[in-house]
Amino acid sequence: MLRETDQELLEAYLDDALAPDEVEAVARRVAQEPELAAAVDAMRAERRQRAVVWAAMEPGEASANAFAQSTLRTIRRRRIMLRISWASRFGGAAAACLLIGIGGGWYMRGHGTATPGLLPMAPPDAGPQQVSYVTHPNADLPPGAYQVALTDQNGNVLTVQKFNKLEEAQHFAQDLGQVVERQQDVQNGRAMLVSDHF
Amino acid sequence: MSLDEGSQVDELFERAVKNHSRRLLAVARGIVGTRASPEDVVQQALMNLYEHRARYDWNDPGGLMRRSVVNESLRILRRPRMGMVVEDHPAPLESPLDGMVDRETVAQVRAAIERLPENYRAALVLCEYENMSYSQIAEVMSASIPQVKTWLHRARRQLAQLLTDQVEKPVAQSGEH
Repeated sequence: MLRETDQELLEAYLDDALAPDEVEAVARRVAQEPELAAAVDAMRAERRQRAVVWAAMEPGEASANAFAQSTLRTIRRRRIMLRISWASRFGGAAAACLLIGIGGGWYMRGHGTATPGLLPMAPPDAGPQQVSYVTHPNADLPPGAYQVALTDQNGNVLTVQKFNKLEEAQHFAQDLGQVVERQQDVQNGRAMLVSDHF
Repeated sequence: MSLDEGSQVDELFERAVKNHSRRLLAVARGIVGTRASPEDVVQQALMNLYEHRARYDWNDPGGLMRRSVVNESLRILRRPRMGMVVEDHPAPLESPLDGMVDRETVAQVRAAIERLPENYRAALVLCEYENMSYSQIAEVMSASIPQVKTWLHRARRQLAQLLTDQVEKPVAQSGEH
């Protein structure tokens, strides 16, 4: 029966937790003592079994990516909700206007007043009437970058979220639109806010 | 934190979430097993980090994120037992090690790992799955190095004992008839 101290020593040996001189000493003992060699083999076999279990715990790449996107969306929503609460509490004006800046232009959705300097244009994929497309001469975005800005009714930008994909920016803007509409419903007495989570 | 710094931190945070989610989910799954959803654990851990994101260095966030996930996993395990989650992703069909270890054995090993005390399990996952050194594990788990060595040693011995019991039990039962 292997002594407990030897078991611990062999575990540290297999964990690469020994100093070089200790590794050499253990390797010499393993070569000379059959009982130690058998114990090392048994420990290695147990680790191989566990390695299969660890590998099976990993989600696929696609589901890990989906999880990351969903988590980031949730975090952004929370952040926006906090900004909206803050704006409502201290500024008094309801956040109402969404802008998606698309490398030199702005994509606007909502009921607020446009930021000064924005020029209304027809959107490339205009949906219902409430969507309009505007350009912004001073947009400071690299090509291929997008950002969604939340503004108050006076067109002041409250917060900005950057994206690398238009799809993500649009998705976020949609979520944000729902939050803003719900917030307005609450303020206008058309709905009761039960929870800030969604 | 200025607006520019804030947006830089946000970008680094997002990149970290995208780069590390897969392994963080595996670590959470290894520790909470079927006691909780690994997705919920990791999401909560990431939200906690995001709340205080300005305090951390996001250029090398691996250790920080692992620590947060381990802490959240252990916190959830210490709550009163609420129920089990359904396993939503079975073992991959083709793994390079599949030829060496049969599925029944994998299921038995997995079940045995779930029966280990939570600290033993967490230390084992970090050591054998994340290949972390004893000192790194000690830091992540807010423990001393000797304590980590003890947890690992006991975890491995208990696992060996549990698996021996599982093998011997059916033999003993079949011998009774």
